[in-house]
Amino acid sequence: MILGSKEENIFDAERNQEEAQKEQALSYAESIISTVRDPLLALDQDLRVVKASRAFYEVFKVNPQDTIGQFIYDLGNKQWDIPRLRDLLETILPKKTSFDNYELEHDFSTIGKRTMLLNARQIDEVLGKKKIILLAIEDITERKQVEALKEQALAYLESIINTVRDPLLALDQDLRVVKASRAFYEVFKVSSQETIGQFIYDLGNKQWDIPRLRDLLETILPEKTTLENYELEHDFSTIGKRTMLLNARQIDEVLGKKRIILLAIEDITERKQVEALKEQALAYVESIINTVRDPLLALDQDLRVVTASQAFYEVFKVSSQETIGQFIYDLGNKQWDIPKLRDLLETILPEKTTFDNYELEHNFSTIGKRTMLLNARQIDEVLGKKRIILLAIEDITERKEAEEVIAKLDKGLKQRAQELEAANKELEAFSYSISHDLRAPLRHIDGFIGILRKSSADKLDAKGLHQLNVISDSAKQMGNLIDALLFFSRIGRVVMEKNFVNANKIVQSVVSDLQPDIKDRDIEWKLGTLPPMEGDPSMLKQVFANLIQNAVKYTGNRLKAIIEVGSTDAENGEDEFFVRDNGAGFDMQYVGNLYGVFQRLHTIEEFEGTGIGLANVRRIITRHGGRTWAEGIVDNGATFYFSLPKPEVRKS
Amino acid sequence: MIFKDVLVVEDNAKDLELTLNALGENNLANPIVVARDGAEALDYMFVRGKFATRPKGNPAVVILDMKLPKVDGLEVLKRIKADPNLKYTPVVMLTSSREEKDLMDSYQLGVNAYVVKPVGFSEFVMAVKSLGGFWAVVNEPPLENNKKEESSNL
Repeated sequence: MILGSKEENIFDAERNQEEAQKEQALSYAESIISTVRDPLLALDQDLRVVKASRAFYEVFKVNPQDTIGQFIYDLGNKQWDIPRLRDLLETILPKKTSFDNYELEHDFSTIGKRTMLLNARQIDEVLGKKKIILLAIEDITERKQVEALKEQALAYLESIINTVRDPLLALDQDLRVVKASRAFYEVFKVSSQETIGQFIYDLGNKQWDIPRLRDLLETILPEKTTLENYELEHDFSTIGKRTMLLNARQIDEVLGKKRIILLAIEDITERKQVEALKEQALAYVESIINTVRDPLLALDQDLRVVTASQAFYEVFKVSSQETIGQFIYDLGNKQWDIPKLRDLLETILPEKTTFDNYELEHNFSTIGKRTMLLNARQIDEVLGKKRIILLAIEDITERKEAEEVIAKLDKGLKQRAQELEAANKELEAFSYSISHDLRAPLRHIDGFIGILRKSSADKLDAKGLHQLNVISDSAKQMGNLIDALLFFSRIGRVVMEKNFVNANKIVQSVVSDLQPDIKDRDIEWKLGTLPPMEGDPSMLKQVFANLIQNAVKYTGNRLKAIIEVGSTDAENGEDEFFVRDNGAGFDMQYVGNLYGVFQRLHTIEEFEGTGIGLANVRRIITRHGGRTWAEGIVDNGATFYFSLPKPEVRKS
Repeated sequence: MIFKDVLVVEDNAKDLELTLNALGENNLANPIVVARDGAEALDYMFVRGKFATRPKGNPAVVILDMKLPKVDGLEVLKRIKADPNLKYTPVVMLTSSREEKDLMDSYQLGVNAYVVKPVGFSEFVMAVKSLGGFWAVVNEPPLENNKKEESSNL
């Protein structure tokens, strides 16, 4: 400071010159005092005001008359009589000749409570005074307030940054991190040491060096100063692939920086996943609704249609425009305003949350009288609605009609079955009675002939004895016929077993049963390997027994009989079996009679038998779902065939 | 030695004659008693009615027809086998019926043998003769008078 320049020694010889110089210096000093912007006082050694700057008068609202020559403490109603100032001026200054930036808060009577910044210099012998104190007073009240506000704002900002749940970065104009929220460190697993002061793109192994982010921060933000809900998907080296929601604000002059960018980073990966799931679920539900074959309505809690399946539109011949959002009872000319449906939806459903298979017969205006099967479920919170009612509507009109027809047929069938059963019972009783009552007289005829022969043999001649034998044979023959007929009738009636049957074993057993009767015969057996059969074992054995016995019987007049048993794999799901012989054969024109009851192509004298064996075979095979047929040439052998469905392949 | 009775239950006179004729071939020492229907057969077994005064003791064998007036053969069989005193008495069904149902019913009720009357006389004689000989002579029946034990087992 010029006024603070060193004191000068005064020499007598140059007194005048010095006086002139003094004057000049003084006026210079005065002009300086007057031009300084801040209040300035020059006090003498008695602390009386020698000089005051214009700013002093302006700031403290006083005039020179009340100021110059006044004791400083008396100035303006003694508003300067402040203990602290007294201390500064009377104790500190004399010792140190200066003090700097001394803050003084005081309630001035003229201008109120202010904070003044005091600077003082003590200068010896100037302005014609032995000692001058220059006291510069700067009103820093506003500046202090601004600073306090600034500090408050800063603290507030920092507290905000630290309390936000989401990661938050404050970047300066060079994109270096000024501040980071606690959440930032936690989410990105980094420390404040490796973050603060760093270039954002260098953070955490440069995991933030993302072209999209660069674009946002360097191009978009400077233009728009704000950035909202910007989604950024990125594979972060510390936390893996995440989706972040970015929000940014550019703020000027804060935190002691010219420009600050606040960058809020929200990890919305899970939220996105949940949303995606929700959308998928929704799409799934809608796809279900649309793929169900039956009409389906989704109603909200007010019974308005939220969604309807394609089938609904098709069946009820309505469009989605006149359906969605409509009150269900208003749909299609109020054709759904049915008391029973109201009851179901408004009374039953709220109580039970579900109803199943409710039949509703109604005359619909679009499609006429139909019977609908209703199923409903009440679901809470779905499709963005608090409550959803899913109403499935199945048109069962045709089914009902069909069911009625079936029921009628069924009734008829049952009646028929009852009749059949009654007839069967009657037949059973009939055959029972035949077996008992018809055979008894035969037994008596033969029995009494036997007694007669024994008691009176000596009284009869050869002719008489022959006639007794004929009567006896006839009675026996009739007994055999009755037995055969009973057997035939039983085959048709008995309950069949259904087992796997080893055809080879059956044939072996039949042949071995025959041995006593054929020990005098020369028979060549050609027994092929047969596939397994499925059916009633005893009945199937009866078939082979009949056919093989026939073959033995009808080759009786051959010197050498050849009997072949074999099978072929038919392609229609059947196995074909045959028994072939080189015996008497038959005329193919009578082949139709072969399988009839009591039908014979030979006389009893030629070949004995009841004529019922092949009828039994046909009846058994027919009951097993197979067929019978035969081929023969007179005197040149015969082949008897039968087929059976292949056994069902069963596990275990 | 006391020979036990052979009870023949047969309603048909001709069958009865044939049966008795066949049994006669055995020259059995056992008395042959005839009942002509199921009720009479039961009277004999329980020593009552027409048979109230008969000597005590169960028969060596009951030859029982199936189709009988009043009480049929199966019912007679059932009552015999249900009685603790009678149940070990051998019962042979001699019947014209080859019906499987009759056969099964009889065995289920505990019949001791089931013989179908052959149509041929010689076969018939053979059958009746052999069953009479077997049950009346060969077979050893259980001791009687075990009443109390038997009842307690029921």
